[in-house]
Amino acid sequence: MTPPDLAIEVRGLTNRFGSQTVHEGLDLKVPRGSVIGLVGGSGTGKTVLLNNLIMLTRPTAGRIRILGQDIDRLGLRQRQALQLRLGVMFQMGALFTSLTVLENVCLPLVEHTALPRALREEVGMLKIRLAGLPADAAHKRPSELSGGMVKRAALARALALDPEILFLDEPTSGLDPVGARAFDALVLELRELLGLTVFQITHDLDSIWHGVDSVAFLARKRVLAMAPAAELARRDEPELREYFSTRPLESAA
Amino acid sequence: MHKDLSPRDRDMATLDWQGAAGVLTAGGAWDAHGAGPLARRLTIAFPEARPWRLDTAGISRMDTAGALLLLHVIERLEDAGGTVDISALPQRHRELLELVRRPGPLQPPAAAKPLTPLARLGEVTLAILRHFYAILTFTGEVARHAAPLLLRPWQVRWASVINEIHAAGVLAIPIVALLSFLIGVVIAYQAGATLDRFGANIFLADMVGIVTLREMAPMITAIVIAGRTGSSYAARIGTMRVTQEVDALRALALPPIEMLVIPRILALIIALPLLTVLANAAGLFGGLLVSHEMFGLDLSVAFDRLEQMKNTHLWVGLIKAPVFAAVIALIGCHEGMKVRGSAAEVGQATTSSVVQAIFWVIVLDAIFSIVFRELDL
Repeated sequence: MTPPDLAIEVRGLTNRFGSQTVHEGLDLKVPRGSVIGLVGGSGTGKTVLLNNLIMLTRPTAGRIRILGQDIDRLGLRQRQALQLRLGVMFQMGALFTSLTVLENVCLPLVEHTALPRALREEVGMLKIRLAGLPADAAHKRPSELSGGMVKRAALARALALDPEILFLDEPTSGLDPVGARAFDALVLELRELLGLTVFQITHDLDSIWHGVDSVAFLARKRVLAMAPAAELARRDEPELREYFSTRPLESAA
Repeated sequence: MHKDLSPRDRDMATLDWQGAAGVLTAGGAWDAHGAGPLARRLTIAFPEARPWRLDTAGISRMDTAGALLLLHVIERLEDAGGTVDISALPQRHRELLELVRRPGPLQPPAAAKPLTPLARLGEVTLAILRHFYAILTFTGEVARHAAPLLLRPWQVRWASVINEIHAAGVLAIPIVALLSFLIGVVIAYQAGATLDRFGANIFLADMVGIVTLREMAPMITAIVIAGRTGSSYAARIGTMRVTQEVDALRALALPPIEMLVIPRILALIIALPLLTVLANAAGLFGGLLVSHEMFGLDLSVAFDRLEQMKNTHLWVGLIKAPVFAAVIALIGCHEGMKVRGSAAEVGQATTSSVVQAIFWVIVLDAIFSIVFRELDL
């Protein structure tokens, strides 16, 4: 049994596409309440792993437990129920272009809860505010938003149902450094406020150093190491040395 | 519409009040899944305003939606002159209340008011006028880029023109030929039944010839091409706008009108008349085939009559083709260039280009008919 303090537990995960093996025997443990950054070079299967975890795709082999439930053993309704406890923010935001920001955020509330409309919209506005968007963005359509606002609106939608685990796919890519730091701070604050577990794919070295508790490093088809960045930077594996040498160590303070 | 997928406690949020003890007792799941029914019940029955002590020990789970509802209860009681003592609340519940109480508007800002019918009418009218203006502007811009090319035709992107002629013309041969053949068949069928009654079968040749050459072949071809090629122009150019390819061209000092629009217009102006000639042949073939097989029209007589027909019927039909072509290509390219950001707009542009192109083809055809009649052609 998974101890209740693990949000995500992956054992022996293998993903194979044709003759190409992306993951082999991958293990991963994410404690509840932690903020984890998943890093790795291009093609190491970060998004493949994320899609496994949010149950969009099935791995070739291996066990995945999300919030203590073995996702292979769930029926369709149980799986959907579990999905409601996860919030996902996609890389490009994936906002529904035909809906306003508020409608985007309220969509899961409309479809999955019996909240009256007024309360629903207040919850939506609260999430929009928590995500750091100004109130007047509520009636804008995604095409009227800047890149940073799209990210925030996508975060607000991911937070709509107060998820227990928040998955973020490159949340700070395409943001300016100031906006990216603000986003990192926001994620950490939300973790405190809402008791979230956050699992994010990132390429942003600043996020790796300052925005997460722990870094899961994908290489050699598995999670090569998982530790705070400062610790990983001292390790001897060539992949880690190469990755962390791209940034001068003194600024890691 | 709502499906409750809540896996945990099937229980719902509850709120009980005992006036005598002065205790508000909250219990159950105060979360997004459990708060709905209670929120509705509270609009009917609500505790009176007086000093209350809040007890949330029975709450199995609370999230921001539940906390918002609780905040509403507290604020409504306080507004009515009561008080709520929340000192007995567990730390986490108090934190959540604090979180939702943070300053900031929670009411969505007023959405733009729906327009009155009259204002809507005005809006739509203005939109149509603006659209006209935009098409005229676009046409002018194309003309401005095209004029210098008339003097230096070697600067036209002939490679793209040839490609587009292949895509819009050569590949459309089967569908245009088939449809024109069938239209010829239909005309002969309908006309034959009537003419037969008067023993005037011999005029079937004139009937098929005139209707096909003057009207049906140019129209059918233009409509097929509007659906097939006009839409593809809108979709191609629209997608290039979404992927910023059009911006890239501009940044490389390659005017998109010259690179994308003029070759397509030229290609269609060349291809559509040729397709119309093909449609003429296929339509006549279909019509004469039926005339001969069903209504016993002698083919040598039929060819005789066709030869005696005025050539104007042929030219009146063919002269329309390049005009239709220019309109279809202009509208398709304009709709494509109008796309701003999102992929959804590409779909709208495609649909709109087809509707507009077919509309204008038919309107122009009507105008042509009147003009030719006045000219006695």
